[in-house]
Amino acid sequence: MTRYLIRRLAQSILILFCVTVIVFLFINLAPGDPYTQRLDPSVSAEVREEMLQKMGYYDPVPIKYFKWIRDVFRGDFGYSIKYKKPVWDVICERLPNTVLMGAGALILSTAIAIPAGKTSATKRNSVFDYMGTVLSFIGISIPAFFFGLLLIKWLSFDLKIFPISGMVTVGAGYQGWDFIKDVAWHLVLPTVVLALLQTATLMRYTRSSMLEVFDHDYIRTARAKGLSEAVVVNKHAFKNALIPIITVLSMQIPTIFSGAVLTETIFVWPGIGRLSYTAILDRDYPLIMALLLMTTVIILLSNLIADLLYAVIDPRIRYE
Amino acid sequence: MKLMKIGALVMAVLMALAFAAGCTGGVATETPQQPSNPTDNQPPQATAGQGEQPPAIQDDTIVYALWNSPSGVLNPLLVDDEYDGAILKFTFDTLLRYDKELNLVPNMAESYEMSEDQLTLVFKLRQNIKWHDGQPVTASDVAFTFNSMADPNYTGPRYGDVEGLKGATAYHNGEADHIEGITIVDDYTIKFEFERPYAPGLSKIGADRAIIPEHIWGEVPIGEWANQTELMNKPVGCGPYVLNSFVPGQYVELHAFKDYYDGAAKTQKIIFKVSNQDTVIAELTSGEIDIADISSLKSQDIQTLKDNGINIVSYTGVTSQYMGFNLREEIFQDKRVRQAITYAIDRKLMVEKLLEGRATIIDAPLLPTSWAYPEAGVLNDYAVDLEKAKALLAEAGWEDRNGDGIVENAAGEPFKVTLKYPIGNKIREQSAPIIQANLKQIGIDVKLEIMEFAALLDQVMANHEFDMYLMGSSLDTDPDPKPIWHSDAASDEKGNSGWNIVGFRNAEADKIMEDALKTINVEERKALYKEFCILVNEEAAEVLLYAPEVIKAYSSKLHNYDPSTFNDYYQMTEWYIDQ
Amino acid sequence: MKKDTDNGTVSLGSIAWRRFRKNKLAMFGVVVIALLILMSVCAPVLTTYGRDDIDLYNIEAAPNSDHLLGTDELGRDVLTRLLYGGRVSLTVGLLASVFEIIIGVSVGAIAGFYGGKVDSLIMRITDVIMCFPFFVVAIALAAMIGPSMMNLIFIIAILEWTKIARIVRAEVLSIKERDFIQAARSMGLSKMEIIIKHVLPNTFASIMVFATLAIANGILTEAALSFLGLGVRPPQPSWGNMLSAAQSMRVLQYEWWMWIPQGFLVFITVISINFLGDGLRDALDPKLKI
Repeated sequence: MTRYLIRRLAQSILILFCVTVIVFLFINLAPGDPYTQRLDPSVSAEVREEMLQKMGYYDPVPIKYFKWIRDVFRGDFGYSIKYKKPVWDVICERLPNTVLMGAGALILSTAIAIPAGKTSATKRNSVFDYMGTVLSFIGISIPAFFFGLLLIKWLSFDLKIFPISGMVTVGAGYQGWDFIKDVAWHLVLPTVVLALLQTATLMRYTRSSMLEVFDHDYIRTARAKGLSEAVVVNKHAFKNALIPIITVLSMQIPTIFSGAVLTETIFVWPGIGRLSYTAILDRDYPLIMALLLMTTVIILLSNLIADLLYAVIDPRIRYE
Repeated sequence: MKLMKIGALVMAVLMALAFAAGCTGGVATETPQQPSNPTDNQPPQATAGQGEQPPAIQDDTIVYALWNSPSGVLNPLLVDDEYDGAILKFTFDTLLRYDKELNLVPNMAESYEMSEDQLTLVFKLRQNIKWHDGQPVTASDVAFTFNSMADPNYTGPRYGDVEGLKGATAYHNGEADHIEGITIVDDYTIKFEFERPYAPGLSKIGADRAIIPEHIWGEVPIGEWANQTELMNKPVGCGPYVLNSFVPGQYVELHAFKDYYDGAAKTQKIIFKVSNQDTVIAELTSGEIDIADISSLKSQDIQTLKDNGINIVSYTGVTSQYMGFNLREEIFQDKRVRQAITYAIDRKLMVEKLLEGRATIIDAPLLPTSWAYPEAGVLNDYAVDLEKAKALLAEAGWEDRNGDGIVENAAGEPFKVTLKYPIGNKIREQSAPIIQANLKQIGIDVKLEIMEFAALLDQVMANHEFDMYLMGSSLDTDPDPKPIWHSDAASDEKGNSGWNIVGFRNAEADKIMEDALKTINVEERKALYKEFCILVNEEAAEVLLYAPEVIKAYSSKLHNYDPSTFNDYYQMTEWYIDQ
Repeated sequence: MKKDTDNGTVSLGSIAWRRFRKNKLAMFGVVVIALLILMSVCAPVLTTYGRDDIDLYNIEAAPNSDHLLGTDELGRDVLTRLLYGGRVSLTVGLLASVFEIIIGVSVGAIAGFYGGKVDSLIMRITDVIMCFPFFVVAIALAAMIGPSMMNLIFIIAILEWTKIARIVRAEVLSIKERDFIQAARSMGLSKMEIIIKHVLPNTFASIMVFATLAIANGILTEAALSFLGLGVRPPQPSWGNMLSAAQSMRVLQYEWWMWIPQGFLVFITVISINFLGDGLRDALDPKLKI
């Protein structure tokens, strides 16, 4: 196992390298530069070209890449072109907000989806099952945008229970405990909206893998042995249904960092998703690359953890 | 059985959704109505010249909505973002400012003088101006600011502002150690000398660029300015507000500057809050936001706001929308073809229906409110006329020769072109299919291609790969069209971009534009620009579409809020909110 | 699984078909999908309005006898655009998910079953593709290959197959250690035979769930990509781009016809495929009694 782990980590570095090379190429193939769209005609073409020259825009791509990777090895991720700040600072300002909302959504969706999926599977074709099916399909068919606005309209505007947008009440200057409460209050709606799609997805997979397992002989045997339904479902069936569930969960973690663009936009939540999206539109190359490094590491780690968990759940799975 | 159950569930859920969405009737009645009709409620500037006196007790915070987070580049020489620009308006100051009629009036400078020959400009500074850190503002700060723009190591975009000064080029090329044309006469007097008369010089030096403190930025080598995150995020200016806190992605909080030379502002705190246009109605109504730009909302939304007692003010914005032709292509080199297309596009209907009347149709590449815009009747208004359009096309050799509804030239090639347009402006996106339908009526087949803005600029502006494109142009207080229309700004070479995107080259127009810059006499310039407008109008080098209005919604408790074109934050020190 | 070839005897195929026909939900799914396809193909016959007929005098009109589902922001008939929109959305949704499944399932099954170096290599390549940031790749490709529906399907499939590959691989890892696979191995069946006949049927449930999600995802992603210039050209409608054009509080509150019918069509497509898949699974399951 340790050997496997070491090998995987070594491979991860290689993958990281491949991904940066390929994506760096893509970024440079995408037309446009960081300045033209931000400057007005009073800035002449010569001045703009001079600015681009100074940032190394006209260098050949391999040289650009070499410069970038050299600096990364020195621990320097560069300055964001738009924010004129070390990109690491730009990311760190927003990372906690994303982790907060993402973790909330992940916990919420797992807490709802897995029991709901289980119940749906055990009580197949019941009203609960149909209800769950219909709701989860509505969840995946209608963009989160509508759901978000609906909640704002209903809970924030009409009933005035939750704040409309942002992370804190501006101008209130809350400190300590009050600040935490304030942020928690602002966190509720965005988390629910972000959790919606994940819940729907996870619930479908849980239901289907539970159903799949129910068909197997050992479950029939367990039932025949007279074990209580709860034991059969929770101990025997669920454990065997876990593999696809773990896989899906491991793939949802990275989505939190990139897939929350719409939710962050609707609720004006200052997170990584929207930052990545605007960084791409702005052609803020150093920022895009740093964000890419971050998400790549997260994806590789969650895949690795999932692979390790398979072996834990099913001891027959071995990695040599 | 199962089917019915599912069907019933689907219906139930959808109805619940629709119901939740529809239960809006209550909103208008929940909030108390304002006694006066908000539409008639003129901004309170009518009462007194200097503004009303604030009552004893006041809520001392104004919340202003922004649609994007400022990036935090709060240095007037490096800024290139409109949201940062908003913060700078409050924290930094300029030598002169624009009054309501866009005349330049004293601000930091208590007076200024332009010499007879229009070559020398002298500003006398007030002696009581202080930076936010307590240091006095002197002429050497002013000299430092404008010298920096031409520094060879300067990485910002503002060199063009000082290019016309004597010796600026020499300094920029490293052949001098400062701009020869900038002289510090004494601590509070500064002199600028121009190479040749330059009409927009006064506004460029006087009002468009704010002054930065030498004792702060002079400490840092100019090549490293862009890395001074600390200095930019916590700027020291001399404007009426001091930046108190900046939380990226969330808000910027400003506090009134006690020692502001014109007296401290009436409102203690101004908070710029990053918000979302889709939910701003809710935030305005609930009072969480006091001022917001709602130009992109529809009449129905604006009415909702009015019904909830929110005040609305509208004025002409500083942008106009147009469709450009690629004049490098043979197909568009015939003036009659361009005129035919202009006649075919129903701009009036577009403005009436798509913009619900909140825009002005323009026939010249200037702001309709500018002093230089020709009086009514001078320009051809190209009122929609399909017969005339078809006739013009026929004259130019384009006729439907095979009965397929598309016109062909003598060689039998059909008139097929692509219209490229960027994402980001919903109305503009919607105008593309209208143009397509309009042109179809005169037998021109238009393909639409939408792309993101950076990609569009790369294809259209840098590589000249387009037939037609849609874009907005943002105009300055000075009407000088040279940066966009002069042949020097055009390029045909791939990868070499120029702001004259369409590639308009006209010797006569070039001369008029050059002449108009050599005098600051407004009447002379006006006559020249009239000539220019007539020429461009006749050439139909672009289909000028419309100049949309800016619409601001603001709390009925807010007083002295009186924005106008180029003066979005007019007299912000007078704004206050009553309890 | 087996083809219905031997005459006289009751083949697996015909048993499956009989089972399938009895499953009302599955039949419902088939009928709905067929209807949706038929409606989008026959759109010109079913409506008197042109797809892109703009009527600026009649913008955002509520449903009435002329326009059964009202009109959109340019006065175009919503029902007409929904019918035509089905062409893009169904093609993209169905084809993209089919391609994703073909690539993802074969790659995942091979990696999982063979294990060792093969698994390592395949899964690391999958990891690389998984890490591609969607919008960066989309913008770059949009500029390189330009807008077309086939390009769009290609890009969605290329970027999205990795998910099902990981799911299938994980399941195969576990399935291949089960007794019946070991038995099949000892019987000397070829690896390919084992994968196709014994391993894959056991991953069918997950594949079906993925398919339904992939269709919804494809339909909605199409809109985002077309918006960036990589998909269908405006003004060609699709359910996805109609939904994204409707994203505002005003539409949500006052103009239900701009988003509920669009969302409903996506929903009904996805849920029909789901029923169809469930039906298929039950019909093909050898363990189920008739």
